[in-house]
Amino acid sequence: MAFLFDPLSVLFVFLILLGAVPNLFYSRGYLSHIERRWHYRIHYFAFILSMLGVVVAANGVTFLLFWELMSLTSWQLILTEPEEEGTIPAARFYFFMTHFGFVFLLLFFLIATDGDLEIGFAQMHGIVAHFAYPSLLFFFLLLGFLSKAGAVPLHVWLPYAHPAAPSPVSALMSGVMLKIAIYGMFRFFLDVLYPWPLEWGILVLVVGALSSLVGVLYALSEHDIKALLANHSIENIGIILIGFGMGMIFDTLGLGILSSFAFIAALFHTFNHMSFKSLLFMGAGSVLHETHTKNIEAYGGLIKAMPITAWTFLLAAVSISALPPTNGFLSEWMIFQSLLSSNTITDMSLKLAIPFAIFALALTGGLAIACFVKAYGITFLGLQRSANARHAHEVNPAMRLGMLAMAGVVLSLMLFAPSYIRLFDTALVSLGRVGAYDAIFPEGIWHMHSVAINGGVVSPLILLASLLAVTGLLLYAYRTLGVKERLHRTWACGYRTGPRTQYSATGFAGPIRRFFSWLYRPQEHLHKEAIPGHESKFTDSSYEVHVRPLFERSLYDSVARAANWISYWVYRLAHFEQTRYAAMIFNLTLMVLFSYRIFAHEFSWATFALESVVMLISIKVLIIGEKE
Amino acid sequence: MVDFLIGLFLATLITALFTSRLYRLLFWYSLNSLTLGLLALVIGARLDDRAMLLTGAVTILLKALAIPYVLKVLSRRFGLSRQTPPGIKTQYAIMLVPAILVFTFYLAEPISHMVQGNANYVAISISSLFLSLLLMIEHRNVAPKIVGFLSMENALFLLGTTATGGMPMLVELGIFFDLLMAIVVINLLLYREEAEL
Amino acid sequence: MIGYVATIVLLLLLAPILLSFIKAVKMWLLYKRPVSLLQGYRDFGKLLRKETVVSEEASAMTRIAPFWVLSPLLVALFYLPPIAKGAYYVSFVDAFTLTGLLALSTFFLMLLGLDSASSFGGMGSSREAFISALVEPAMILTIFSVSMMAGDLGIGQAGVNLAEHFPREHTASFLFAAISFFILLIAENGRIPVDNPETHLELTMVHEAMILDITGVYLALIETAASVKFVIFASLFASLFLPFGMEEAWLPAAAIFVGKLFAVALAVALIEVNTAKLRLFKVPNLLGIAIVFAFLSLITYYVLGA
Repeated sequence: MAFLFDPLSVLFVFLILLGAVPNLFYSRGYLSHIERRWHYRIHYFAFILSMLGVVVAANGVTFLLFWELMSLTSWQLILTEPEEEGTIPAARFYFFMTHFGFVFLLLFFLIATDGDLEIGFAQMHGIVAHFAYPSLLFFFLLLGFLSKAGAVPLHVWLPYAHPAAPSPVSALMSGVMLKIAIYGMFRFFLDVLYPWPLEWGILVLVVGALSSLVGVLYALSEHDIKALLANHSIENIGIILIGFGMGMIFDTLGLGILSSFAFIAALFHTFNHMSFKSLLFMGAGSVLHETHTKNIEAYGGLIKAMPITAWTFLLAAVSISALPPTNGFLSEWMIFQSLLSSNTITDMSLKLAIPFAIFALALTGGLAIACFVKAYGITFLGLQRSANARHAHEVNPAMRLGMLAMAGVVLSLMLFAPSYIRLFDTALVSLGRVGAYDAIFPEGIWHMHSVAINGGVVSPLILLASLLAVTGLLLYAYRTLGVKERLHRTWACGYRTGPRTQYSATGFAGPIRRFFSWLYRPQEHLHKEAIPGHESKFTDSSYEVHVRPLFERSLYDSVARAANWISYWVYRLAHFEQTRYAAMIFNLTLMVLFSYRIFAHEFSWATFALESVVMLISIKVLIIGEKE
Repeated sequence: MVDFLIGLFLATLITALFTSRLYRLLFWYSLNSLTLGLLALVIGARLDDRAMLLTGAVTILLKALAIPYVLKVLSRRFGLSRQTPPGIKTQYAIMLVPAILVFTFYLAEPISHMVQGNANYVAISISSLFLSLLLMIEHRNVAPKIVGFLSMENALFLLGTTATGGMPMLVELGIFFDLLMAIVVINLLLYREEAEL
Repeated sequence: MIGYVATIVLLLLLAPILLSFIKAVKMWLLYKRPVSLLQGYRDFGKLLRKETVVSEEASAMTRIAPFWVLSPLLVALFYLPPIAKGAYYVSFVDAFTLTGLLALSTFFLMLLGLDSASSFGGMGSSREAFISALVEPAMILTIFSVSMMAGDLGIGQAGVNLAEHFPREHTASFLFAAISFFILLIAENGRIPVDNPETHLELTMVHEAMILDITGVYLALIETAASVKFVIFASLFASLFLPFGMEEAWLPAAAIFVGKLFAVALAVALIEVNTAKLRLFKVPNLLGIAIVFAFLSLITYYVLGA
């Protein structure tokens, strides 16, 4: 066990505490909702402690220990309510995915530490520098961390695991645990696996752009409010990765200060996403707590019964939609600026790739707005769509306190952005980066500059103040006007309005779903009871649409089918054709020896070719054999 | 000025890709040829090349006015469908068109080093060549295919004018005759189609 | 500084006149008796005097959202490029902030539509969400492309730079950006091929559907927001894509600028008269063109430098 407390670790300890302290209050209030309380308490605190352990670990064994503890406790937390439908498969899926990543992390550590897991990160850097295949290590790390962070194509567990967990846990998992993977990327890319070739940065950028688009598109088609938020986590992880990728690219090109700027943007978005996503999950949890359903179509009008939940949710929704002057806007602005400061690059393929990333990010922003209008409007505005929603009340004081504290964190990130950026800058400087704080705030804290030549400037506080001032003036004018106000039922062109005539979430996302139907390939079920003799008149009808994620359908199902097929084949060999089974074991041993030879010694095409020929022959002769 | 006209050339071509009405398509083709003719006039005036000026004038007369008119008359005579919905959905087209442009810009980069003058014109003309091919691919009806063929010819003309500072007059004339032949052939084809119906 | 304040007041005063102007031109072309240019003011005054009817089903959102629809647009007015050389202007605010402010206004407008529990409101919001999601990328790409050509990401500075030395070598990408921006101007302001501001027909409404249950002062605020939005777009078009006439003294420069605004309004009116409203699912075709041109503009500038 060894710990270190350098600025980066402390920064992430700070992030975990910011996320966990409001969550404690919220969790206290939520506890009445949970049956297995001691199970919950033990795993909850162990979960927080293990996350703290990961970010302060100073060597491989500590890191892996806490990482695994974090995975196991969160897995148990998902299983808090095992009677609920879908919880156990979700937990199983999560368990599988997180250990899929763990295997790669373990492989990375075994190689990077040369078998001695107790050496520090600085010594690991020395070993890695002499390793012949750094790309292999890069892919190990990427698979290990991205499966935890939930980037495309390893994102599929999020929309299952987050809704299944109790809401405070979803807030912690989505808000904080995903960020631990980001910490891992910062720690091991910047500290251990440095320097990078250009391709790595481009790969991270592409993964980020894809994740952001895929996440927001599937979020739009969700009806389960927590699954919707989980899909948004995929999107935001994508945005963070875009920033991270740009940082890597700039660093490779030797543009130190631009690289620091992009890394700061990624860190800032990490913090922002922690704050507003935790708040959103808490809000969703409160709604769920009161209405006992996750289906967004059963909500409506909750702003009247639950004002605190509704207004804090609104703050988070505005922030996650990247609308000014919120903190979400600031970090996305920084990421945009770092994408745009690429116009000085001369590399042709980069010049062609970056506009696509800008486009992806801009489209993501537009769709995120649509998605949160849907999530907020259908949940909190209009009329109550079900009896559950009609009987909702504001949640208990502890939960309210948790949400308000989290809203405070969001506001603090908005108001004290310069101080936060100074923190990020210090952390990066400690890792040997160029400091960018003075370039971002050259003339005091009022204006935030992009560090590129002729870059943009934004002044968040002035923006906020002017928005508040203008709104205040308008409100004052309205008051002095002394307008009479009358209540009347909704006019709506003379139609009667009722809970069932409102637009539903399905309907709201309809145009976008139709436009992207080539991606969604939705399964629609339309059921109508027509009055006999009339085609267009009906007494009863129901319309349902389900979107099954493309990745899951194509990638995971086919992998599962292939695995199934192979295991069946092996099973058949083992039981009925022992000779060929033995031959297969022989071949596998051969392959292991060969691979060891290839990896351990200097790679040469000649040996590789020779070895593959030998392999092929032995497979042909021993396993496939002669056709009867 | 030349930049502006080339931009307009590409712009009209892209707009043509998204149109689903025949007459609109002819209109965009006519504008496309008009910018081309103006381009030839501008370059001709700059180089003080009489032949070039003449070609420009002929282009405007023939391609921007006569051919669209003839095509319109023909389509009316043969009762061609005025609805020409593109076979490629807009969603795909939005991604496809930039992809083609990016790709051709990328491919044309080494070529453009060989040309004197502004190298980017080559890239734009090659990409418009691909776009007119796309116009031919994405439609099932005959008429838009013809327009696609004609705009492909325009793209070649653009390449000739901008990259080489004007093709020899003889080649220009040859192309024009080709074009006339094509129109005649199309006319015949349409006749046959009608006879078969 | 006086010029700065005067410009903003001028733009605010012009806002209702421009919309009335569009309407008048349309009516004139259709052989109707045109409305007065001051009709916007009359409507505004009438709405101020009326009592406000608020829906029973509506929440506090209906009472607060109209202010949040208008105020981001009013703030955006302060960040526009100057209309004359030497006048004070806010040089640094970039395209992302400006589109963000516009999106903030739209965000609350969409929430407002969902608040009154009418199916029309939901329909309008849904359609607006669809359109603005597609507008957003084109908008950001276009403005960034222009500001890169101008050599400064700040909108105000970009306007000044364009007027001082027009990027002759980038005419092609400039043209693409202009086309894209004009389509966006039409789409974002709900003019005819995208939305018809004059009908209340269920099939076609977008903007009007959202504000169907808003009355009195709240309606006045929203209507003002619509006209201010048009003025923002028109003056952005005028300063970024018609960059001339800024060298004059303040008064002639302002006159030229107002002329440009009316020219933009005239162009919009002519398009409105000559086209039919598109079906909602045909709107992506139009916006697709805008996106392609925006992208093309950026790529052409980036890769070819043309």
